[in-house]
Formats: sequence, C-alpha cells, structure tokens
Amino acid sequence: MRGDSVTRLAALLLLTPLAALAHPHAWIDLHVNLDLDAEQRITAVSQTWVFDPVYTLLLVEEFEQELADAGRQEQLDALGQRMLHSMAAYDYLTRIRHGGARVGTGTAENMHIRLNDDDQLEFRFSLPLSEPIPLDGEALEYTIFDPTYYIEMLHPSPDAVAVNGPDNRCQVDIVQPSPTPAQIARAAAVDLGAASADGLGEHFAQRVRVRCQPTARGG
Amino acid sequence: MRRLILLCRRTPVCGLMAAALLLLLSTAHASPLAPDALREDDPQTAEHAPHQEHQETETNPARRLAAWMLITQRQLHRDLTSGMRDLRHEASATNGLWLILISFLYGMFHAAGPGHGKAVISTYLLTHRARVRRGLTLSFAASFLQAVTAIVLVFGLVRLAGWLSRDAMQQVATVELVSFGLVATLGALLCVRACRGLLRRPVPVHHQHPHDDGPMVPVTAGLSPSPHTGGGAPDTPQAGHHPTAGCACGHAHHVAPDAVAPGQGRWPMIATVLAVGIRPCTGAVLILVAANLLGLWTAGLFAVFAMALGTALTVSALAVLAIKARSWAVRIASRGGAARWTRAGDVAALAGGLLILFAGLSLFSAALTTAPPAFYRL
Repeated sequence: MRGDSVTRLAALLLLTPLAALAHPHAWIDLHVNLDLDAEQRITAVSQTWVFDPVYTLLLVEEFEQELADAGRQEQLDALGQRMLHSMAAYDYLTRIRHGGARVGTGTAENMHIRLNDDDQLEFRFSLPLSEPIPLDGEALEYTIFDPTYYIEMLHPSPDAVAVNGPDNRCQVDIVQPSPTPAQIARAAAVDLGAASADGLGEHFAQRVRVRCQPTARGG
Repeated sequence: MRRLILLCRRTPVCGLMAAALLLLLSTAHASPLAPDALREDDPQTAEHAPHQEHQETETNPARRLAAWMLITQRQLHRDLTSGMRDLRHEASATNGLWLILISFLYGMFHAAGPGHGKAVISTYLLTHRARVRRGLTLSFAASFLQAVTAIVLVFGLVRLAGWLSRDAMQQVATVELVSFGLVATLGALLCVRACRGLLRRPVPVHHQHPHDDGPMVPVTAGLSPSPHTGGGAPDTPQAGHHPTAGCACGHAHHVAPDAVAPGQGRWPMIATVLAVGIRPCTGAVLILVAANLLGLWTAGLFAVFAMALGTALTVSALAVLAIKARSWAVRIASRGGAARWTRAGDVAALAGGLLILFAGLSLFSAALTTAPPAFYRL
C-alpha cells in the first residue's frame, strides 16, 4: 500500500505544527540590574526595556498626536508615565521568587525614557522589593514577560543581567524558554482570536536565577 | 452514521478527514491553559512545570523544531522591522531589495504554520475534486487578496481617515470576524452541494441490496477516465464497469481523481478565496503601518506584495500536497470498488463542508467571546 503511506505522510506533513507564530508582534530587549545593599541583600530590580523600532513608532505616534504642541521629551515622559501607570496592577510584568515564595514589590520609581541612537524607545525604571532579600545561598528567580505574549520580552545576552553591589559573589543563569509545540500552536491560534492569550507569555519567558555565595555576615 | 464508520474503515478517505479535522482543530480549538495566569501564584505551575518542560527539550525533536521555528520567526521579524528603519536612514536600492527579500521570506515562513486560511484551502482540496492548477489559482488569489485587504485597511483608516496606527491595527479583528463568517458560509454551501450530490446519486441503483453499501454494491457512476471541466457533468451516472466489487480492478483502471467527486463550479473557489483572503495578514498590516509612519508608503506596498508572493508559494505547496494526497486516496479506494469511492467522494465533500462550517462557526464564536489582549497596556 504505497499510496496509503503517502496519504499518511501527506496528512502528517499537513499536521506538523509548524508554528506560524503570529504572536508575538513586538519585542522588548531587557537589561536588568539587581541592586544589592551593603549587607548583600537585593533591594531593587532595575530594568531597562528597549522597544523594537516599529513598536516604538506606534507608541510615539500616539503621543505625537495627543501632545502635538509639546516637545519630544515631554511626549516621551507622558508615554513613560502611562506605561508605568497601566502596568502597576500587573506588578510591572515582573515576578520574583525566592525560596519558592513570591516576593512582593513596591511602586516603580526613577523612570527614564528616551529614544536611543537606533530610534528605539529606551524605558528605564527601578522596581523596589517590599523588603530586602538576603542572598543566603537560596536562589532568587525572576521572570519578566507580557502575559498575553503580544510582546516578547527577552534578555538578549547573558550579560544583560548584572548584580550591582559592594561585595558581589553572585552567579546569574538565564534559563531559556522551551515552549511545547502545543503552546506554540496556541500562540498562533491567539492571532485568530481562537484562543485566549492570557498566561501564554509565561511559557515563552526566560527565567533568570541568581545565586550568591553566602558570606560571613559581619556585624 | 454506521455507514460512515464502515466507509471510514475501508478507505483512506478517513485518514484525510482526520487530517483535515485535526488541521482545523489545531487552529480553531480554543483551550486556555491558564485563564488568568497573571494572578496565578501557584508555585506548582509557575516553578515546577517549566523545570520538567525544560528537561525534555534536548530529547524531543518536535521541541527542537519548535525552538528553531521560534528563533527563525524572531529573526525574520527583527530583520523586517530593522530593514524598514535602515531604508529610512538610507533609501538605497540595496536596502530596498533587502526589505523586499525579507518580506518575501517572512511571507513564506509565516504561511507555513497553522492558520485558518491554509486550513480551509487544504480541507477544501482534500475533500473536493480539484486539479493542481485550481489549487494554485486558489492559493495565489487568496494570498494576494490578503495583501490587498491589508492595503485597503491601512490606507483607508490611517491615511484617509487619520486613525492612529494602533487603532487601525486592532480593526484586523473586525475584518477577521467577517472572514470567519464567510468561512462558515462556505462550509454551509459546500454541505448543501454535497448533500445534493448524495441525494442525486443514491446507493441502491441495483435492487438486490437496497440498504447496503458494503462491498457488494455495484458500480453506479463515475469511472469516466476523462477529467471533467464543467460543473454538472460528473453527476451523470455512467455504466458501471464492474458489477461486483472486490475484483482486482485497481490496476486495470487508472481513475482520474477528477472523475469521482462532485463537480466544481466557479463559486466554491471564489467563496474560498474571499473567505480566506478577506483577512489581512497581521505582518502585512504591521509593515504598512510602519512604512506609513516612516514615510515609506511605496516601499511598504512592494514589501507587502513580496510577502504575499512568499505566502502564496507556501500555501501552493500545501495545496498541491492536499491534491496529491486526495488523488492517492482515490486510487487506493478505487481498488476496492469504484462505487464506494464515488459515494465516498460525496461523503468526503460533505465532511469537508461540515468541517469548514464547524471551523468557521467556532472561530466566529471564539473571536466574539475571547477577550482581546491588553493591547494598550504598554
């Protein structure tokens, strides 16, 4: 039955979930600084988001129209404020875990926004932790993602994560996402309005683990 | 129903049906794994599950393929957006050609995945008699109509009506609804058509087994070796060649696939092109919107047509595959008795129509009920 196997092959080829990935539509490059205090505790996660050129255009266009008479920086600041404001309810798309428990975060501060030399939007803010987390050997893990996966948010390289502190003995691991073919198919289906996008982004997010060597805690 | 099942057991048409069904389901099935994962704070799912998933990565080839697709897609997307920007900085022929090449590749690659357009075209071609040329026409017409829809949408809303690009992009969802409605309509029309074929070509032409469509059913129609071109011809019953099935007739008669299924008019094709092509590719809309914002409208037009060409090539490949698969199935089936296949052709057409109808309806209702993504959050 040669034909039968050909039929099967054809069926298989048609079915192979070659993901079209209509989602995501935009991307953000992440650069993250983990701020340590003198006692080797993490106090804040400072983030720089670099938007892709087209998404930058879309965002800027809106404020060019809305604040037509204002200067460029004023428009950008308004955009930055709105972004922070609307993300506040979503923990600024940042989830931090320590020892298996979710770490609370406060209100973002120190916002800076500008267009960089490549005409890409560069958006910076610092996200303070509710309470400083001592790096006692237990790994701290964080993910930053758009839950709807409309925007893909990734650290472009291992050195996109830095630990800033006086005594830095930390090791950073970026665990790359490994979505299942089913999740990729779902991402494609989202674009047809056929699947909910909520929660999708997590499967396409990098997980960053920071582990620091315990230090002799000086009093 | 029993008959259908029996039929399924005997012919590979069932495999094709299943293929078409799965193809459609893969695009139409809405299965939110985590309805509100944002609020979800369960370490079980958030922490442990991804660990396990990660461990499988190296071993599972499907995963590796998926990862490769992700990376390629990402790269193309990035090249596309930065190509646009480069063209603005330096309007050179090199940059222009580069953008067009990237658009073409993006279209080709993008079309390789599940999408209702491809699913509808494949299902239609799997379950209906069609020649390769028709399949190609279908694929190209639908792909280029998609480009035209994108252009009309962006030109009309952004350039004429002065909408914000973002608002215009969201209107893709509205156009999608129309597309899904057309898909459902196409399915319903195909069903009606197939039913008429089934009624017109009843099984018990020979009188001994009025209610049996088993292997003993004599040939009633459709072994004409010449392909039909018109609409009504295949419905004409012809003298059976083999009064009993089960003889080794497969080798003696090459059955042209065109000869054994309901005939084709022009309208199913037009309806398919419309249903598929009315939905613009989001990538095309994105390019046009960006091109417009950068003052590169003409370059955007070229890019979008290059993308449509890429899409058309991939969809054509799928279409030819579907047509070939169907023609193999017909050949296999005709070994067991052409009568069964003739009927199977009608049943296949009916099933195909039902599948397309189902897909259209479920996509339509899903699109209505699924909350739109939080587009404005950032």
